[in-house]
Amino acid sequence: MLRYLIRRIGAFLPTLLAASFLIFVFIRLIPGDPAAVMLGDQATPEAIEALRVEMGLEESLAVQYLRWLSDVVRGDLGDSIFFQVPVLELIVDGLETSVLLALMTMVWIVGFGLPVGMVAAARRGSWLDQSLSGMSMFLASVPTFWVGLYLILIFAAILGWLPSSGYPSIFGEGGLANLRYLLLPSIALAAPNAALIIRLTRASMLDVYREDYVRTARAKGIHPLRVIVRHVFRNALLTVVSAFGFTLAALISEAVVTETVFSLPGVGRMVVQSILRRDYPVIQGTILMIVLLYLAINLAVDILYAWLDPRVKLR
Amino acid sequence: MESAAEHYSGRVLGFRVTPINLRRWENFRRNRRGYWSLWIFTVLFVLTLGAELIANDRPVLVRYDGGFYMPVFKTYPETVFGGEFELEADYRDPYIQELIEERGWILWPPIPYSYDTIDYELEVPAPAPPSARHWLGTDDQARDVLARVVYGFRISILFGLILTALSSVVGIAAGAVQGYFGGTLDLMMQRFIEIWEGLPVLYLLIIMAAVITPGFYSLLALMLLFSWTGLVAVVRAEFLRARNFEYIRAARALGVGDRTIMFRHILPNAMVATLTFMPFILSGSVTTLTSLDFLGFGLPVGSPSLGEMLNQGKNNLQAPWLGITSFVVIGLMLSLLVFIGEGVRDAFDPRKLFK
Repeated sequence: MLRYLIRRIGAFLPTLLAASFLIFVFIRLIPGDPAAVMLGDQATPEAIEALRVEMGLEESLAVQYLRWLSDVVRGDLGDSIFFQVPVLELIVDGLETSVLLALMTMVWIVGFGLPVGMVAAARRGSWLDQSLSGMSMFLASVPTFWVGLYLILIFAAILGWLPSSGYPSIFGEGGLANLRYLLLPSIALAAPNAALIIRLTRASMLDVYREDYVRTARAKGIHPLRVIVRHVFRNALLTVVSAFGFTLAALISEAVVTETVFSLPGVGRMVVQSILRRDYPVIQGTILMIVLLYLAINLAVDILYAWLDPRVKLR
Repeated sequence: MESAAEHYSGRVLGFRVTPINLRRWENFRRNRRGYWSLWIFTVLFVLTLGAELIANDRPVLVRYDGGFYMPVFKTYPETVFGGEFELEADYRDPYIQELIEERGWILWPPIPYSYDTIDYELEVPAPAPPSARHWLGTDDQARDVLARVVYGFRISILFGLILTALSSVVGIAAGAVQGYFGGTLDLMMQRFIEIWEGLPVLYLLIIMAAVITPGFYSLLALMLLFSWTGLVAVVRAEFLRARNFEYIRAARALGVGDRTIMFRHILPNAMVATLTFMPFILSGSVTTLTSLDFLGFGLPVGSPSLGEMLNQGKNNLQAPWLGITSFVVIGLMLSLLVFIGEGVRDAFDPRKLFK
């Protein structure tokens, strides 16, 4: 286990480094001069030139990258051109919304997807199974914002039960009740992903169900419920756990659309707005954080996977 | 009596097929949901391919003064119909219509609007609700919703199909090279793909789309940058497995070239896995395109785009026909594709094939 851990973590750092370089190059590919953007329309060419030197834009790409990287390692992502505050501060501001949204979404996915998938597998072939799988297939095939708009239309516009947009912090006025602002967004974001988990749980439960040791367990006279929970579910969970990794990673990307649909002050929407404002340091820093998060999730899933399935680390 | 060979080889839609493909086809047909989805999808796609004949602001056929004219395919100046100017005839102009009907008739398409036709004679402010004039209403720029749906469906599917084809070609080539040669090349490409897939694709697409304000083909190229990796893993695995088979070793011993072995002898085996993935790549491409359009980073402004209509639906909640239409069309399109994909996957599944 320890050797597996070391090898896996050893692969994490070079990957992160390579990804950070790619992001840096991507952002540099954007035409337009950050210095000119910073100073606005009224700036003289001399002023722009001076700022370019000050910002280090005149140096070679490699030097710029290394300088940025050494700043990043020390926790300095630079300052936002638009807001004139450190990028890290902006990210931390947006993180509350994004993290809470992701957490609530995962609660729906796990709390709804797993049990429904188990029920569908246990009652395979019944009308319940048929309708559940039909429904989940439909939900898995439509984009998140599609579901989001539908929810806004019903619960916000027609029924007026829940707010359709925005999110005031739970640490401010209103407290935890403000979580209701995230109810519709998290359901919208969860729907297609929960649908995938339902289908996957059902399929892998059925796969395990056909194994010899399950038949043996049943033949020994173990209670059917115990067979399902102890013998089938635990092994079926292996596939599902790795799917949680994809799902969480997909959430990060899909959140950009959901946050835009519901006008949530999250990290995703901030990136989109920064792109429109050509706020390079913010784009660069935020995307790097997103990649870091993405790789960390994958690492965590791999480790969890090895812990659940002894076969993995023996390889 | 038919011979055994004829009995087993059979024909599907006029094509001769091998027994295994016949069996796959029959398996696919047995999956009612997938089979009917394929038919509905094909009909819709073929219909919308001729979108110009269904929804257009030019007549399909004009009979004037003993001659036939097809304005859909050819532009005629006004003077042809007795008008005054050398400009292109505006068939929606009542004056031109009168001129033509004096000495002939006009045959309009079922929807007499194109996707970009602005109806200046609306009696209510745009977006106008559904009426006899606009069956599904108009959007907030007084353009006919049904016409936009017809063109939007076509552009989404065509975009998805081209992207799927291109990413399959690139993905298969990359997977084949990796799996066949293996070694350091394989290892390096694997690491690269791992990193490449680790990048948050939607964000990078937005960044690049915001910068270059893409057209149809540049958007296609942008999305291809990230979509080609989808097939690599499957094809690579298939090639890794097959490269040590005896018939491949025999071919190599006979001095058959690498390229011939890869594409003649191994690729057909990898195609099954590839084919089952394609419908899902297609629906994924359509979803990404719709998302980008919805966010305003997709196809150029004015294009008949379903994502843009969805955004209008969100901004005009007082005009539910916009939201509902785009919901239904996008939902229908994507579920049809996924149902077909499911059918194809099951039909090619060897465990189900020989039951």
